[in-house]
Amino acid sequence: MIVMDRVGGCVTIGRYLFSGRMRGVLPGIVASAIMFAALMTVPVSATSAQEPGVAGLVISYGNSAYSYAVVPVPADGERFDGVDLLEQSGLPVLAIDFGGYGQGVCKIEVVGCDVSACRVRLCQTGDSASPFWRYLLGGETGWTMSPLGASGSPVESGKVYGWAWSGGQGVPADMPTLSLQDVMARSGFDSNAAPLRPALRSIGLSGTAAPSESSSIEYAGAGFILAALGGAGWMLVRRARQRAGIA
Amino acid sequence: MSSTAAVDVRAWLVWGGSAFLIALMARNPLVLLELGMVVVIVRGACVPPDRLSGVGWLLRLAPIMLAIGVLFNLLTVRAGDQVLASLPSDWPVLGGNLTWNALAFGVVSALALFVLILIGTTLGALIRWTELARVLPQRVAPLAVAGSVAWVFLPELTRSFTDIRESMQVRGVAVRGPRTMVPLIVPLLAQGLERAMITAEALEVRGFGGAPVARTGRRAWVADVVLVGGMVLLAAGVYDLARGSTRAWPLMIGMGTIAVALGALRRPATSTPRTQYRVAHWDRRDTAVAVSAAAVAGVFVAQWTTGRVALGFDPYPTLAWPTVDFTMMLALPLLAVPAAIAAFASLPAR
Repeated sequence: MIVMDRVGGCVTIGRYLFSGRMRGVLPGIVASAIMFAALMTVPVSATSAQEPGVAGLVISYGNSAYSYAVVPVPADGERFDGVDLLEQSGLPVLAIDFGGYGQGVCKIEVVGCDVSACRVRLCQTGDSASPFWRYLLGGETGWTMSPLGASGSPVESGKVYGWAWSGGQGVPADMPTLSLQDVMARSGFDSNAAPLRPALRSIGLSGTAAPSESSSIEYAGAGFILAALGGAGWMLVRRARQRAGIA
Repeated sequence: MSSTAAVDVRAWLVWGGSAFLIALMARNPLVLLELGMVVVIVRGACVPPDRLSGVGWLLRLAPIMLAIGVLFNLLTVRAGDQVLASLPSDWPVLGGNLTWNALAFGVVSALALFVLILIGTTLGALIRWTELARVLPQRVAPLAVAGSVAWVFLPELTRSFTDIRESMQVRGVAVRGPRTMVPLIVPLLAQGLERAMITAEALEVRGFGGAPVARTGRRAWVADVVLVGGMVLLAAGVYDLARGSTRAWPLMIGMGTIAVALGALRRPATSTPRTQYRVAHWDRRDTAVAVSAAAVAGVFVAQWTTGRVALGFDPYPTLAWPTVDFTMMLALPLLAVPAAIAAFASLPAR
């Protein structure tokens, strides 16, 4: 505050903060700041400090298309959430940041929507039955909806997680209930490899995320069209202005 | 003369509608760039000199839009295969990868916004609102008159306020604070009432508010039924589009628009006769502009309905150069027909 008081207009702020009116509020502000700083430095989950392991991932694209992946989970206390698990699987993923709400997944492989539609309602239209990417937690009894979302819940070793492109309420019916061993078998994971590497296998997906690029001749053609339009346009503007008597 | 090309206001509306439609549908940077070039050409060739305000403010606006679009996208979308830089992951909100993909998407979004503003300002400079009011259907004529009276209210009030304040200052009365505003408000109110009387008399002289003439026969109410039916279809189509549940909305919106247009163009069952001192003529130039613009819009709508990827540009998750589609690139210059008319047409100016 002493430093602040030396800075021009901040003198008034300093006096105001230490005035009788604000003195009651100040401890609360300081406590909040300390708590925020503590939250920023403490590891996200105590469960992450465990031995190295893997987590399974099942992705349902609808229309009987699935991806199965097994991803090593870091054991050094590093933050590793559901979106990290998805990105580490090797699948092309489009996820956007929603600030304090965390991240939203817009597209996995070729299924989903672009950034503009995703920003509006996470790919959903006004119809509640329209699909979006939902995050599921696996278990012995089947799938359950994640209460915190993918970026808000840490991934635990030995568990199976899921993503389903579906609308409506609840867990989609076509989501297969699988144990980690099942996912390992379906993804072709090599548990003897050292170090452990992610494994991924997709079934029933039509098309890939690779964009269709034009040839260099086509780009040259496009450049020629733009250049010709620019030249012709300049001539038209010049002639029209001459006719209208504009200098 | 409405512009150097002297094109009818209805043809300009078709041109503007087509350009807006393309700018809203397309995200391919090549298409947006070409559309922007066409609009600049039409602006340069067709906007009359007295309305050709500088584009400096627009060019100053462009980098601001670009910066906002790029920064917002860079900091909110971390996806993409081309990493530009990485911010420490323990930084709240800002931490993570910044990608070339996000930068490309931000640039394309800013380009689309800039082209939309360019089209809007160009159309605004090309259309004279008096001409627009003249070609409006009989049904909306009272609304147009009321709108134009309301539109000039604020500038007239501002002018009166300035005049009265200057008169007071010349007489040694300084306007400082609310207390000194009282002698200013009274003449302002008097002038407003006087102007209202003059406007009312002018409207009365022109027959506004006269006794409506009733039309008889079956066709008199057919137009009303078509209009109401069209509005219902249009509302249902917009609702369906917002809900996104079925694919019937293009049909409903299309049919609704046609029905509303047909119903609005027919004279209502009861209306006040309308006199026009200058009747708008539609000639070959207008047909050329309207048909070429509609053809371009048709090409793009066909591309959109067939789901052609060349219309869009999605840099996620893999960044690649935009797809070239010669059908669209060769169709777009047709929007520059008004510029060609302004440069070469031998028809007499209106």
